[in-house]
Amino acid sequence: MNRFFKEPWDAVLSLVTGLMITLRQMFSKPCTIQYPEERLIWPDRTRGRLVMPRTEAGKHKCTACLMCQRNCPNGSIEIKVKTIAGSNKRELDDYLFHLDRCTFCGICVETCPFDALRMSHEHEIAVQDKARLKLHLQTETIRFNPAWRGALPAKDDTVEAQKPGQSSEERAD
Amino acid sequence: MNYIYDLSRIVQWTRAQLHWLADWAGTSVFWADGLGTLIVMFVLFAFCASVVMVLVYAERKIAGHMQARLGPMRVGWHGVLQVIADTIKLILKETEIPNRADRPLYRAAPYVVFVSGFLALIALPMDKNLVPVQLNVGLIYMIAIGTPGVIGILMAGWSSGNKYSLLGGMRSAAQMISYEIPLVLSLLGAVMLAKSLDLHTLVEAQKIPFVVYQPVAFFIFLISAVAETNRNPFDIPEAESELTAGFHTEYGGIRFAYFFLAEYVNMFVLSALGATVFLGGWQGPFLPGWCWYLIKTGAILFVFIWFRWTYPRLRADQLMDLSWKVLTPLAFINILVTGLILVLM
Amino acid sequence: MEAQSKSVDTLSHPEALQTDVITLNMGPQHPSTHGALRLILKLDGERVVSAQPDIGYVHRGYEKMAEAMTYNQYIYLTDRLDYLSAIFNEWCYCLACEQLAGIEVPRRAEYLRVISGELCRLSSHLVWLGAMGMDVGAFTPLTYTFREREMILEIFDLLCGQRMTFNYCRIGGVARDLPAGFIERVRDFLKYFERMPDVYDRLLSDNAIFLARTRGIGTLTQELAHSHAVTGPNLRGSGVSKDLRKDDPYSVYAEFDFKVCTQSEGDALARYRVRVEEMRQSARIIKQALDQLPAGEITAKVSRVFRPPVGETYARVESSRGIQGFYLVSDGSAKPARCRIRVPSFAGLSVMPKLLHHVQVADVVAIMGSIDFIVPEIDR
Repeated sequence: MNRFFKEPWDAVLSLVTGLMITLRQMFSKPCTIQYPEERLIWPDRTRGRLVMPRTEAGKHKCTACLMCQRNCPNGSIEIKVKTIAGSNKRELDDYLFHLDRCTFCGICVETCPFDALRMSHEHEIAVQDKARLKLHLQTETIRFNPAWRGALPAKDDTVEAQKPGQSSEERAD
Repeated sequence: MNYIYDLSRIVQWTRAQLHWLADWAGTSVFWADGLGTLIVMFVLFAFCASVVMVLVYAERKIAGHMQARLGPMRVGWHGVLQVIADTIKLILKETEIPNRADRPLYRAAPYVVFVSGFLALIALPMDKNLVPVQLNVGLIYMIAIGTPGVIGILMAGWSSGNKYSLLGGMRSAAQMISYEIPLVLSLLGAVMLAKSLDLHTLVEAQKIPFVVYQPVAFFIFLISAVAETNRNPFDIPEAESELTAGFHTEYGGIRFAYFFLAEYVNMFVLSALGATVFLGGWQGPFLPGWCWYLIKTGAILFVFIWFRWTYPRLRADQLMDLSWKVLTPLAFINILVTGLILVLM
Repeated sequence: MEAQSKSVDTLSHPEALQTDVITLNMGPQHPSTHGALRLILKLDGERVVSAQPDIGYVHRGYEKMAEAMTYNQYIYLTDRLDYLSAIFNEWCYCLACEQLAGIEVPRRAEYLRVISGELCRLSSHLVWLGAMGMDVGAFTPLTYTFREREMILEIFDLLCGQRMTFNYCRIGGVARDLPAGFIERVRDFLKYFERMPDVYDRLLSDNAIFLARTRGIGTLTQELAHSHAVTGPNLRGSGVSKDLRKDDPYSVYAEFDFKVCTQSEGDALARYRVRVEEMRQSARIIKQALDQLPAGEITAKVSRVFRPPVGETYARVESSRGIQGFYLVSDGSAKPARCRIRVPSFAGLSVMPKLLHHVQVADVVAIMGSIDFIVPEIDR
């Protein structure tokens, strides 16, 4: 008897339950946003495209130490160095950043000893022409933005206060 | 029933004008009626196309909201023009024929599928006096004319020269033949109650909609109708996760559009049939008849869409099991019980 | 053909009707091969006579690439093995490096790894659940699970700045401490997520059609699973209670209270149930980890140029698909001499020909979905 009445009945019931879930969802709020008009707010640590921000004085901090170039796993950074005439000092000549090779791992920013590089929140980086993915960072005059905190472990001041034994009961008070 | 919105008056008026025109031109009424038929066909086609457009938009919107999305939002206000944009795109697309295709069959298939759905539309009474062709065997006609659709799908599946298409076509043939039986049997109960195969009489017999007397038959009809239209949970001929797109894998452009059109026309036809036979068709208080007709049809269509965006797909053998081992016996029992009650009463 | 020419009555002599098997190439471009996998199916009508997976379409040579990179540089590449549960790859690789150099990882770092790892397991299982629904034809579960997954990805964005390729683990710890508001956010998510497995159950798991599609198909026996080294949820679905987090409690897993979920049937439904249950357990672990989170350093003292002593090691973690392993050989230089990756998906794929024997075409995708492999991980 079970086979002919209870099982089909349960099956139909399970199907109706499914229908109810989709129906309820139909009258609740969608979770999507309308992209170009509405945007997500990016967390500070978002790793977008690499930039070399300028200080107030309009200068970049790069000393052409080549740390980023050496540490980049994909070879996306190519630096040309020139020596200043009359002295032994090295100076940045050209900072070629291959955006098409970059994987946004952030190792360059992490290893930069002079805080010259930042990962901006710029993520709409699709272009029609591949040549436009070769960026000369020293020519850009992008102002420093303190919100760009991607891949910056050493200079991190946005961490949660460390409290040992932070249990949920305590938090409930 | 003298409503302002009584569409049948427009029809009568047009007919009178045509006859007057024939009179004036000195030709026989035959030509006037011929012209009238053409106009009716044209109007029906336009009706068909607009119904499909509304339906596609509704489906995408409902699907969107059921899935916690919004659906089309870009073209026009809340995406209302999306379907038109898609249609234009499909028409403008290059139509390609695969090298290994059987060309005449490949070309003809979408139209066969579409025409069979479209022709079924002409026997449906949309209002008291509004039925394109009134047939005293309307129900049989509806069922019979819908059947060649499966031939079109088989043609598409075979002629594409693609294994996915072939599998899809074969599945479709098996499925549609299996589900035609419970579909027809489920309608028989209503026919026994109304003692007529004329859809018009069927509607008029429903002072109380037949779904009250025939809930089981309505249930069987609903399931078989979903299967007949190849929609989820019975969409095994298309089965995008297994067969990419089943029988229309190789189709594109306007030919694909016709398959698309056919799917929705079939959906509409079967929903309208359900509304006519079980829900009382154009009968209803306050509103004009054709409004009730559309509301009831729309309700069934919504259930179709609702099913599709909720359920997983059945497997081919389970599909057959359901048809032959559950629905067909159930439909027979339903007929038996209906007959017994009719005899005893 | 022959039957026709001799005009044998095939109705009374069905054996005279000669039918051929169809060879069907499923993939590499196919909606449900989960990446670029090619499956050569031989079909007798709707029945599968034989199935042969053909891999290598996304081969990138990751094992060889390790030899050209320093230990630190390689971390970010491991994200791209199993991109749905990237943390486990990083974690496992870092674990191997730490074993090589004998580094003690601070407890807070271990906790952060556990939290991010279990979040990752959740998000990976969510994707799988949606894809599984999609494989059997239900579209809607996918959008629901992706909605929840999106929340996890946003949490990861908050934590390490990237949604899928985290580059979060470091040799000796993790890259960054928790950002402000992180714990709050995870707790909110867990509170929201608590009732979601039940919603999935009602929408999919208890659905009669879904049960009919998954029950009794693709039965993986214990012997078969062991002989192909299947691990993870697939093995637990066959009734073997084996979970590295319990059996070999690496990191701080010994400090958490959770259950190893098993099902005895071994079919697609059993694997499905194991994973849904694992989502609940993962949520439990995260909750405990947040409660017990200790203060302290997040990385051990490791020199910038990491040069482990000469030696070799094998490290393994329980990823969301099974046992993920890294075998590293060091020659004392800053670059690994040899790197070999053990991926759980490969074992899962290697049983496919056995599981797919004599099933229907529709079951092929359902079984593939239930095994849950990731092609970029197999090809590497």
